Amino acid sequence: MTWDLILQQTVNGVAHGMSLALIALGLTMVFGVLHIINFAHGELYMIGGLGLVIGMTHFHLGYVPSLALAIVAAGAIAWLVDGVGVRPLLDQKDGHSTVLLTTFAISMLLNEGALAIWGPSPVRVDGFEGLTSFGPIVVTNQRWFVIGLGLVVLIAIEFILRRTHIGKSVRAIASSAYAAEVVGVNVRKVRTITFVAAGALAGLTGGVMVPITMFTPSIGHNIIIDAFVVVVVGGMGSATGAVVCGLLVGLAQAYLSTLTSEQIGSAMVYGLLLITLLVRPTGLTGRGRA
Amino acid sequence: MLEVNGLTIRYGPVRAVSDLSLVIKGGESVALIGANGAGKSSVLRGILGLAQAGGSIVLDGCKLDGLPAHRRVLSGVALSPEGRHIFAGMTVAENLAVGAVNVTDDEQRRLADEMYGLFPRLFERREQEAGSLSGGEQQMLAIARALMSKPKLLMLDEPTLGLAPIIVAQIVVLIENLTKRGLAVLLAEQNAEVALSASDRAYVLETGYLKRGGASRDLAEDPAIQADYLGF
Amino acid sequence: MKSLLLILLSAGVVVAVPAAMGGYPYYMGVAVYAVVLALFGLSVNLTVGYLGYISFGHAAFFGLGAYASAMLTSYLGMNYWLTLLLAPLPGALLGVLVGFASLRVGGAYFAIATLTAAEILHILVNNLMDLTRGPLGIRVPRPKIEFLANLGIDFYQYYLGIGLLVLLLVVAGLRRLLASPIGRSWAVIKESAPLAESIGIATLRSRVLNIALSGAIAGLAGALFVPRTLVVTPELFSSGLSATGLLIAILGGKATLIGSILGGVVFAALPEALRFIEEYRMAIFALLLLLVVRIQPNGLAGLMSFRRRARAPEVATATTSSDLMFKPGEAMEVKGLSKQFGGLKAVSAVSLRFEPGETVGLIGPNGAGKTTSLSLISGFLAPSAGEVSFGGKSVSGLAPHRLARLGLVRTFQHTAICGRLSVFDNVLAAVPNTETVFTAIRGGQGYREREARRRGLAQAYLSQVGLSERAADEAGSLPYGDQKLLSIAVALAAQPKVLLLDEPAAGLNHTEARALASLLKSLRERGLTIVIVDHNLKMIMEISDRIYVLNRGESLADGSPQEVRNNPAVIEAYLGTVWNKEGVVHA
Repeated sequence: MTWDLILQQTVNGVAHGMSLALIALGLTMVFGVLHIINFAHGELYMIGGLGLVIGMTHFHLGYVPSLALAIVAAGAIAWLVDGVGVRPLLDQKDGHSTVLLTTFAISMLLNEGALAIWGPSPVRVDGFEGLTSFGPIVVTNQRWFVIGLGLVVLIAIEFILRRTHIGKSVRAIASSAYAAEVVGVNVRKVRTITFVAAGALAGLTGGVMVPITMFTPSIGHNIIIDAFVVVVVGGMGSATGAVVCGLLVGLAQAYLSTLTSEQIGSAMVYGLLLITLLVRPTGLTGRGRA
Repeated sequence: MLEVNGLTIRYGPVRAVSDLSLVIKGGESVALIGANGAGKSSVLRGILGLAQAGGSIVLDGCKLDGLPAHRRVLSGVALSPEGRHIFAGMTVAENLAVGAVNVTDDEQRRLADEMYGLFPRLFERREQEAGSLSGGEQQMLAIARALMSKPKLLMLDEPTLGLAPIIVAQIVVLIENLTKRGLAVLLAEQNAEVALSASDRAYVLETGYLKRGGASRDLAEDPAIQADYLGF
Repeated sequence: MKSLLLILLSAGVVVAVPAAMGGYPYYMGVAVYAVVLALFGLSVNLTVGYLGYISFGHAAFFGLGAYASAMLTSYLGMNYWLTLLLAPLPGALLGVLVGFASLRVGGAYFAIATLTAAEILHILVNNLMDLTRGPLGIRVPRPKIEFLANLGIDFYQYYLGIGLLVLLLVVAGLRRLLASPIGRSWAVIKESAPLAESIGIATLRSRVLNIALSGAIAGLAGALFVPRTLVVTPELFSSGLSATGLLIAILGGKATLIGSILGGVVFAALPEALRFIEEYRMAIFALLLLLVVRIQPNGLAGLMSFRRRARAPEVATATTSSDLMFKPGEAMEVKGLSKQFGGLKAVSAVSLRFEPGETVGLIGPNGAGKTTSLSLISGFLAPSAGEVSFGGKSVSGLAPHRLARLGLVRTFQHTAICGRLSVFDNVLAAVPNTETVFTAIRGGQGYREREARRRGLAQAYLSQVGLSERAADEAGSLPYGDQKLLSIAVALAAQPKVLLLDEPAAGLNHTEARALASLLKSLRERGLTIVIVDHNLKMIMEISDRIYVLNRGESLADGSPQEVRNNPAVIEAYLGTVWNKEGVVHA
């Protein structure tokens, strides 16, 4: 493996890792605030990609307006998922396990539905074209965009959580939903907002990654286990864990792809999930909630 | 200020409180005493809207029953819950900020300053993580957090639990100061002596029923209270 | 007599159905598919419906079975029909692994883990070309049975017949197993694992057994599928198949055997009926799963009220409650028990002693550490320091179910009973037993006698607490006071030498508390050692021989009820500084 290859894969890995970090962040936030695992989260990523593709190929919008469409589409579907499969179940006795089933069913519904309506053939769309080179290392502008936008989004989320009232309410609920209710936070509303925001974030991520990976209805299905790996290894409920682990897993996958096939690389990463669950369920950082 | 009529609270098959009625005036502090499991906490939770409750609850002319908890807080009820439940990962200042529902940013700053005035220890620790505070400081924080919503009625659930006598004394003084400002205070306390010294009137609860009530000074001399607690 | 009839009936079905469908190979193919799906659905149901663990990766077991059978047939030349005996093994082994994993991770993590494991297998099978021929799959020739073919019987006829035979055998075995102590353990674990531990059920072993069995049955289904598909591909590990299995189990009816069979039939027939919208098939399945979970969680079987009605217990060899005496146990000693949570000392150097036959109260104001102490003694919390010994032997650090088997049984503050089981079945589940899968399925005279004895014991404990009349009622429908009594009956059935009661009077009104007190007094008369943590001091004073008082995690006082209630330190702990005002009368 040459130095150039390592550097190139590092660049690609950072971009890929950024997307994993964003997806995992949404997943872990939903867990931290609602205490549920949304199995349909990967499909919201796919819906974002689908929104982008429809915006560009059907409505002939530019990339950025289509990206906006991706965000809105994913957020809207997330709102439906919350209303049908999550919110009514949270107060029930066995609610949390039932939510597993409903979100699993919805993920299948979205995946197979998109497959049936759209068809399996990959679709290519262009985002930001062009590239910059540093000697033999090539960075496509789309990848710059992913990394840059990712950083902006992460900073924005951090700002919202730390400085705004809604952000503090979110953190309060994650710390103690009971106390939050006691002090007058509208817990139900904030939970729904968190869920929809996480969905919109996933959709945005889909919209920025599709120009790199191409769109098929299966991209959600393919990415959800990666997201689980990141969230479990990073610690369920830990935002830092999600981001750090997302980048690490992205890099790991990029490096592995030079050594072995993509599928085997995935299998190794999935194996990491199983090992983590058996050995240290609270994640590497130890801050996750089992 | 607060009028409760026929309050009945159930948790699933268990009836925790039966047909309870009480009245609290502004500037008054009232204590609920009784053994554990008597229903004191449940009454407070029922008034805030955290438990399934039947009966009517009226605060300052405003009907509370049927409203969800966050609306009741907006109407002027606040609770410092049993066990404090402060937001451990957030700073003291942030804890206060979360409690400031329905207040503008400026008002929030002014209120926070007021709290710091009442609780100087909290001011010293305002950027510290709440989880690292001592038990007494956490209790102060829980009360301050409750006061940030500018309540008309402040409810305190077992505020002296596990605290050293010197802190307990501070809490008793605090309650007196708060009532002097016109706040109505409802206090649920297992420790009868503390409760009766911190209140004007008190009610004794037993297995969900109001057993007796009266001026705290009178109850403090009543041998029946000892019997109520120690079971004979 | 009844079983002979059933055997004849089953034999009849196995022969008659294929015979009747003779000229319709197409429909026989669908029927075989239904049998395979029914078996698969049963395997998923066993874990999801009966044990309460949601698995998203059952296709892993199915695929392993199919590949095992195909590889044995195709590579080693074994007779296909013999592979049916071996093919379940890899599934069972994976099930054992997964079962052990369930110790660490419950609920959502278990679902993620199973999904991931299936994906890993999917990828491995797809890529280990040398072993599995990858996406091309392994071809298996149609496994003819010569002598049956020579008799003029069509392939699909004996294939279907054998399939039905396998299905009926599995169903029969499962029925027996589910009605046995093993099945009852699963029901309790599903409701509450701590409850199961407290009455002596080794929850880990029980879970491993369930999932291994489930894996074996799914593997069997996969193997049985081979002659229908004739080429096994990695697609058999897909999450779509796992979802189908889940849907069959849930749509048919969780925790009902007939439901999975119905589900299998429906799902085999559906694709044929929905052939014209083949592309939307999985999407429709997903929608169905969502609708069923939201609207009718009991599935089809629930619609038809197929839920087993609780059998009123036969009062056969009734060990009458008057015969119920408790063996004198040994003394129990707690020395220097401490528990620290981070910086908080919940319990600090507490020492207690319980003599056989005593009733000891453990009291103290809120936050005194009483319940924590109880959890420490009963093995539910690990102590930071200190030792617990029973009859001279140290029992510190033993798992709760081991302690229960030694005679230390506890109840829970928030009454844990299996709401969906009958009152009688709740108690029966706690009676100790040493049955294995084999003895349970085999049955026989010895087993029946042991079952009858257990049922008699359960009946006796039920009448001891006064709930005999409600034996057949659903436990969740009992009023709260009766639920408390039931939880005590359950604890008694576990044959305790020392009974630890955690706030048994909480939530009870005067009448119910009186009934509880008189029950505890009668238990004391029969020689049971009882330790009670409670706030109802009136009751505690009435029934205790001795009382320990805790305050702020430390021992404060101990002695007779009289001594304790007059102890100034105790009065101060509860009421404040010495309640010694003028005019106050000390009792």
